[in-house]
Amino acid sequence: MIGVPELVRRAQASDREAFDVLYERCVGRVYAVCLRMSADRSDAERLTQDVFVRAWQRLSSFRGDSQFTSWLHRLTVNVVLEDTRSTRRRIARVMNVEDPTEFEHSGSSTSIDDRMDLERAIATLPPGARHALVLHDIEGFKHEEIARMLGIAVGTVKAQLHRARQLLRGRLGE
Amino acid sequence: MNYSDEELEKALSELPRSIEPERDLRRGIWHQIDRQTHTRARWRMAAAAVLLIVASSVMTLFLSREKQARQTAGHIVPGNRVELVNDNPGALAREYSSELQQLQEILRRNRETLAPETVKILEENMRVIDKAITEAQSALASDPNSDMLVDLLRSAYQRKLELLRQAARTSSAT
Repeated sequence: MIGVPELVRRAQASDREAFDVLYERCVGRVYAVCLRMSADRSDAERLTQDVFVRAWQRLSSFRGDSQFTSWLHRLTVNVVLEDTRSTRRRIARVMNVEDPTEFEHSGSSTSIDDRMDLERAIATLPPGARHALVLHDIEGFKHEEIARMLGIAVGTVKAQLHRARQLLRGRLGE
Repeated sequence: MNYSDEELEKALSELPRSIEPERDLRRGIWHQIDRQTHTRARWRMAAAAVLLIVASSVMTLFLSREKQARQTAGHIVPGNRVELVNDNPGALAREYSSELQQLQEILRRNRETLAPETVKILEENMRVIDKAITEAQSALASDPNSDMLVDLLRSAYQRKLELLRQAARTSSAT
């Protein structure tokens, strides 16, 4: 199996097949971030497409100093946040996933029902709180990094996170 | 389910990092990439066309002035008047190179007969036209089936030939 660095090198030389393979390997991770941050399946698909279009266009700027997956991950968050800032359409939006199996995945000790409840509850959070929660508690970014990405103070990130967890617990206990 | 702080943190950390989209998004991705590439090619073409017009207009003005100032009867430089009809960028370059070399040799021999200012402007404008040719070739590499780009490239070559012919005529008119 060809490694990611070699696939990236080929894609940088405009090899579309190599980029297709990169898509196959990375799309799940990109889509998960887009889906949780946007709380909307069609938006998540559109944003995922935007991420890969942007990745193709910016591949030449990827120097290999970091892992490609980390680079793509940051690009994904940036694309989602830019979209949120530019459209302002996601205020208090409620999850639009008609098919509850959207979030079904194996490989976790939490039961599928509990996890689906958790995903749905995350999707109903206000955008600011949801972004802070997804970026910190799921994606593992630090408070300072999130503050930079969102353009807000670190204290505000912590407050949003606290609010998100409170709301989550409340909604899951209903 | 009621979550304690620890349980909520654990449940969030156990959410899957990867969620596959329900459909393959690659078609839309490549469609967007191709559309944007085409748009960029059009802009490059427009930029190259502007460069060509500016360069050739300025150069024509200078050469005409110099010719008038000399008030001498010049003789027409014998040259193979290449009519560029080939649609292949490589073939266009080959067809063009023969007369270009001939004209450049004439200019090299007679360079001292031209005013330094004219030589300077001639060289600057040739660089601009060469840049327009490079831009057109680069755009054609992205969009090889574009008739407009082939026309632009042909036009750039033709402009360069015309300017070199005019410069050669002026320099030979001693």
